[in-house]
Amino acid sequence: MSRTLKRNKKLILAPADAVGRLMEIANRQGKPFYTLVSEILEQALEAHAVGVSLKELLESYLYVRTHSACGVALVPREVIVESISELNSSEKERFDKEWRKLGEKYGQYMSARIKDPLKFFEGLLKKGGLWDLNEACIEENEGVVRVRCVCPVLSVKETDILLNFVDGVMRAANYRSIKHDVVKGLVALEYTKT
Amino acid sequence: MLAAREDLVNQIGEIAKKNGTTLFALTNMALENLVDLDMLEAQFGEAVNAHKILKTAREAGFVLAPESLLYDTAERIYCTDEKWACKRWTEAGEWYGNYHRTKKPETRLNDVVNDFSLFFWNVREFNIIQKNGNMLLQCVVPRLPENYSLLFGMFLRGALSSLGYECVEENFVKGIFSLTFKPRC
Repeated sequence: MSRTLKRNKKLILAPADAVGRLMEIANRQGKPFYTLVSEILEQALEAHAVGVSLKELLESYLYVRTHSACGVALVPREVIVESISELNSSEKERFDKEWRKLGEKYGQYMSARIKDPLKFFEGLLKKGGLWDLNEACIEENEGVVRVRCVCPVLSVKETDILLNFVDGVMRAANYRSIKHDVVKGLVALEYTKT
Repeated sequence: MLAAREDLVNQIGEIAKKNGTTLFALTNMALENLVDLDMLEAQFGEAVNAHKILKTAREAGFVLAPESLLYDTAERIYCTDEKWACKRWTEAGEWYGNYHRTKKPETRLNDVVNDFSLFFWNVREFNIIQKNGNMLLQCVVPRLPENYSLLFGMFLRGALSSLGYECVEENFVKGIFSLTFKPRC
């Protein structure tokens, strides 16, 4: 759906509202509209060349921004896992509480800032870098939200941490727990809206 | 209708064909994503970096942890068994350095330090200063507790050791630490 305009230029069809918003951006950035459109297409091609879409880049940006806003830091997994094993039981309890609190922070942040928090949360669990989960799925059916996370290599303690985090997020997003099914490496939870 | 460079439109058109979609759908998605990024006051480069952070974290075995808990745990472990804690962080750094070295053997030191600055957003600044053939790596860490900074320094030493650099001097002052490396012969 394109028409050759002049040598080296082509016209492409675009929705009027997108064109309007792009014009605003071009004006704000002080660049010609044609340059901005070409830049966007270049960026889309650049992203495609490294095997991602602009949508995925945008999602990654949102995940990292959420992490940074919620006060987390990256750490080698083995260091943190081995450190946990050195903690005594009251320190481990504190670990669970802190992860629940962190989940609540994420839940509040997502509820306040993200259009579809549950969908975003599913993406965050899958691709957001918190855990290297093999599977993360959030489904809503007849008022019941099912959260399922699978990662066979997680230790019992890490599974507890994941459970506390997910539960913290869901509670902060005003969901009430109705079912827990947790075994090492697998967390399956059900919630209803409060 | 909007005008764009013909070569770009053609390339996007080819990708659309391959993916079984239309040029209209694909360009629209790109335009919408850019508008969304702009609404978040973000630049394309920041989004690329964010993707790189998550991808590298996954590949290099990093996880996210609440900062306060991370610092407290590091403090506790350091005070209980300093030698063990330093060894674990150094080994983790060595592994990370090897990951970089084997992934891209042509990787320059600057690239690795740039990656550090993306990756460790809890560190405010990473600076590299060349000094008499040696390299001074300076980290500004005003928010990090001292013992965590020490362990993080061990991680950096381990990483650069795998990349062929030996730490010859270290300096820890609260809020800033600097490590001097020389290339191993």
